[in-house]
Amino acid sequence: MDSATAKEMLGDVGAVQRRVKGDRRATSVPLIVFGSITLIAAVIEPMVDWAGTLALFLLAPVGILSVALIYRRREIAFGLGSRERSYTVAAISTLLLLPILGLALGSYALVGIALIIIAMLQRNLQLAIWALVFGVVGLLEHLSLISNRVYSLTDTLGIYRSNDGYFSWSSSLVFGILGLALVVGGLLAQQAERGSDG
Amino acid sequence: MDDVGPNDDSVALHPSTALTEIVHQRTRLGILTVLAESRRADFTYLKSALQLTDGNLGRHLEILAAEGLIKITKGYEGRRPRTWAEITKVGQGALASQMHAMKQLVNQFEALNISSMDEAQGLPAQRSRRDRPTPAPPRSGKVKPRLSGA
Repeated sequence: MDSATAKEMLGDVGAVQRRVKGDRRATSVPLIVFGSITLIAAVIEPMVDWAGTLALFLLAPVGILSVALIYRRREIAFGLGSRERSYTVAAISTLLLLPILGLALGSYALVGIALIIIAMLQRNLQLAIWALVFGVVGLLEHLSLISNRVYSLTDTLGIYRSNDGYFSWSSSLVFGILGLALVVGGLLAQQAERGSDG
Repeated sequence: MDDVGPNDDSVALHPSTALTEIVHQRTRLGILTVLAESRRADFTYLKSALQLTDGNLGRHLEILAAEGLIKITKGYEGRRPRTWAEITKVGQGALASQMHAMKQLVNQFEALNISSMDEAQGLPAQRSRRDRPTPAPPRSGKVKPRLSGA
């Protein structure tokens, strides 16, 4: 085989890989699922008690299992697998790591970790970047770094002033925006994946 | 990476010797690529994704299964008969070797092409790639091929 043929075949392999990734909805499904649950959690978080806060720690495994379930349905409908058994293993691992990672990094950073696990299972760079952004923002927010800036900003602008000096909805605002960004990113990815269906 | 002497057998071998006829064939390479991305796929999906006829796909699947590169499972989904193809560990290894050999072949050609451009410009052949200036179009008839976007 000469190098021109090798180059052409590598190009063909790349095209097939892109097509299969698109058909599997490899990026859009996890982004839409995790974006939606983050958005819902961000809205209900300030309203719930400690039991509700505890439930937030289950976001990551629930998200992974939901993704696995959607992929299983797609596998039956379209005849294209997606290693859904590995997702179950990933969900169980995340659940087992919860007591350590959840307390250290926060419930939302765990969502970032769950997305990183899915990105690794799928060898999906686009998803890995989203996961990294989500994980970093989640961790910073867990340390209240972003909330404090949001409070300072709203206070300076005179938009919101509380008696106890704390803007309790700032965390929800940060994660609400992040969840919304994931959903929008997922919808855009879905459009691109539909375009690659050929 | 370790430096290897000119008498080392691994250097003397051309990358194309690492290619196996079973995996190298274009359609079979396509089948293995789909299965490596998705773990398993059914007959109908493979047929449409690779634009093959029933007979053609069936023949290639048999060859791959006979070599232990894929596993074929026949069953029913409700009343609908379904044939699934699943890549095995051996298949994943064979595909990885094939990809590695092809990339090596392309890299080797590009390295040769760059050094021939250097020689045409009268530059020393030992300079590292980073230090090398952007090559001007070669004076000879040889033109460096563009990477295809496909």
